[in-house]
Amino acid sequence: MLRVESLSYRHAHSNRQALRDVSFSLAEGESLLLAGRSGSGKSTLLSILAGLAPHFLKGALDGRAELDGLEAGAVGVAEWGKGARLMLQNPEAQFLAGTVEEEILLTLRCRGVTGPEADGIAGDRLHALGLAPLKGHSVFKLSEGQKQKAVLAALTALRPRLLLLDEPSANLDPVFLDGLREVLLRLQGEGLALIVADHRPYWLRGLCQRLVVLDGGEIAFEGRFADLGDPEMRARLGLRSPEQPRPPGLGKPDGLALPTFPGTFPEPGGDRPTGGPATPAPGAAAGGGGAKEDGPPGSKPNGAIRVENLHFSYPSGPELFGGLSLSLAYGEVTALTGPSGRGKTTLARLLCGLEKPSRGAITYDGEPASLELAQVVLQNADHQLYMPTVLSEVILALGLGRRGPSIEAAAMELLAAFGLDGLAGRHPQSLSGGEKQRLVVAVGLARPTRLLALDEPTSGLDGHNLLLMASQIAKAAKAGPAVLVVTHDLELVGLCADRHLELPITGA
Amino acid sequence: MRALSRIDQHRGAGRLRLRPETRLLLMVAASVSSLALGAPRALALLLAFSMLYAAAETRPRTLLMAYAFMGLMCAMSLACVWLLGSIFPPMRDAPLSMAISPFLRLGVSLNALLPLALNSRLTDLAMALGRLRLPGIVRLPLMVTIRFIPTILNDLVQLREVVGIRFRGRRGLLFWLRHPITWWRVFFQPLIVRLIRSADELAMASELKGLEPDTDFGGHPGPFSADDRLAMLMAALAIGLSAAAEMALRGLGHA
Repeated sequence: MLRVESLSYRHAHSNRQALRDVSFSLAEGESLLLAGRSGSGKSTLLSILAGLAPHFLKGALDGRAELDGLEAGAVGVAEWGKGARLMLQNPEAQFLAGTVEEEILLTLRCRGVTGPEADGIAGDRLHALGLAPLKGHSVFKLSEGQKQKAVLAALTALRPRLLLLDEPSANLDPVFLDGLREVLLRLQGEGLALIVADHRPYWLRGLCQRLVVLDGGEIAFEGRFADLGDPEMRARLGLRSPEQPRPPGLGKPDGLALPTFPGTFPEPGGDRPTGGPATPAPGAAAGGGGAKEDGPPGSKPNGAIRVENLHFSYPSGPELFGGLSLSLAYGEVTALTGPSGRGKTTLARLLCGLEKPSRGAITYDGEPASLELAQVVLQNADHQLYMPTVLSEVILALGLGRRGPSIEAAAMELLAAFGLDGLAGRHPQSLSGGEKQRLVVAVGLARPTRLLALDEPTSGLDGHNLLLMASQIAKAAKAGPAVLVVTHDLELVGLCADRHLELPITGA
Repeated sequence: MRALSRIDQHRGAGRLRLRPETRLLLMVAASVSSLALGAPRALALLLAFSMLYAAAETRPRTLLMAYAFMGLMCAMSLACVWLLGSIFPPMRDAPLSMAISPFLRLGVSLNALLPLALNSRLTDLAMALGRLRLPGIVRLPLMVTIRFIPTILNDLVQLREVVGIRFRGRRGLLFWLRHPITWWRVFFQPLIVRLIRSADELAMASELKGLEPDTDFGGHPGPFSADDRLAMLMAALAIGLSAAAEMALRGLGHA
């Protein structure tokens, strides 16, 4: 059905080959995991197979990609798209319409399907993906998992032959991933072929039969999905384990160990919290608002940052927290997990003083929570990078504009710790997604603080960079602050968390 | 996860139940009228009327944010004019009305555009544009532009927040007035990058959907509602009053 032969591609305005001599084929109903480090060419290959390159993205394409006799590059995106559909990493970027049902109908109308036929197909897709109760909902107000499903419903409305998924697990919690796997298995049963580019292979077990690993734009390995069980191959190619991450009980996942990376963090100095590591807070264990907590046996939470009887809801939204009490200890990494849309990011924002509780109190050694005491690294890196070079970005965070050999040396050390020292002279906006993610965390760690909150710091990171990030987060906590990591990445939790808070699972 | 998405992006909403054709018509009428009017006071009157329409159809928070963005753009334009004036002194001698009128026109257009952008379902808008027999080359960019507006507003919210986090304790107006380059760098540079990226993503989404200039969205128009008729009547009155004010001001020699 799909045949790729000696495919090479160079992006417009670039001298570097993004793909080199890539060849493979895929039969009807077959599924393939496309793996590889960040920047290895996975998304580029998907763009070509979706017909975007060279028509939309320009660039120079050599070799052949054929889908049911149609040749990529010879037909337009619309024509090619009848057979192959691409789900982008950020589903929100793919919405053109306002509601879930409208998004499906718009897709159908773009292909000339209107009237009762379109209504019938839309109804069928909504039902098949469990979206019927949400059909009139605004797509912008759905949780990440629901957004993915809405995009899938629209993409599969016209029964394409090949579905391409770019990092579908990046922002999904394990419960939604299970749901997504079920949906994809059903579609596979209908004869759909799948190519999934993802850093987290564990959820694709039983779905993908084949494996192609890209490295530097070339196929570095081709085989069966089960070949991912080889730790040597994974280490060589920077891949994550195919094993389901251990439910956060704070042991290290199989085959993973925190490596030692160079670099140290600036000492908090005078800003080191006066109260911590502190005495246990009264009622320190999470409770009252429905978060449950795991920790190493015998561990006792040292409460210095305290949440007491927290109530919060957004205007015209349901109550997210109804009497939550918990404490965070200085010098510890606390992982906050739970289903999408349950309030993880909101809790982090409340802890940092970005939101005000409706009732209850959040205090740092008795002081009310405020941005002056906390540092938060949000998800979208584009908004957080301003300076002309990677180095000056860190210098700004370290010294707020002051320069000097010592600040520059500290900045280089911090960059080295995140594997970014080789990119010090680059413009931050020219970095890849994974590199930007590491840079914003490095910037977040540059300043002394009592609470460091990181929102999904590893959503797009490969195996190598996951280990690096986990190592640096653990090291940052040792320097003094309480570190809160909001994440769906259970591997990260297992690698660096001292404590685990899970918001209650109440269904999608 | 999406706690940052504060912009009301629910389409098909709005307190007035207006058809997209009505909102389009109001937008075109307001924009053309603002171009036709020359007296700043008449333009200010039209601006006031258009603000009432925008306030009826847009959430106050969203409206304030849009005004803040517009204010920022106007401030930048004035700074550029001032800079040019120091190079070409005759520019400094231009009458005040010449400096104010473009901003008043911009305000009128923004007030008329926001209800269309934030309250129209894209499919309804596409059908309305098709019924107006506008060529695809106009229809498609207009649809994507209108879809783009909520994205811009959402980016503004996030940028404001990030600047607050990064420059905690240095968020007072004085700090930013003393450091205009830093202000430019931390606010405008990421905004421009985001706008370019968002525009690219939307274009890609349109391509992937198969949205093309000749795409036929079908659909039959329903009758104009009482709200539609009332809105058009009020718009005609507002334009008429502004035009009358312009003529009266001319008669008094204030134009």
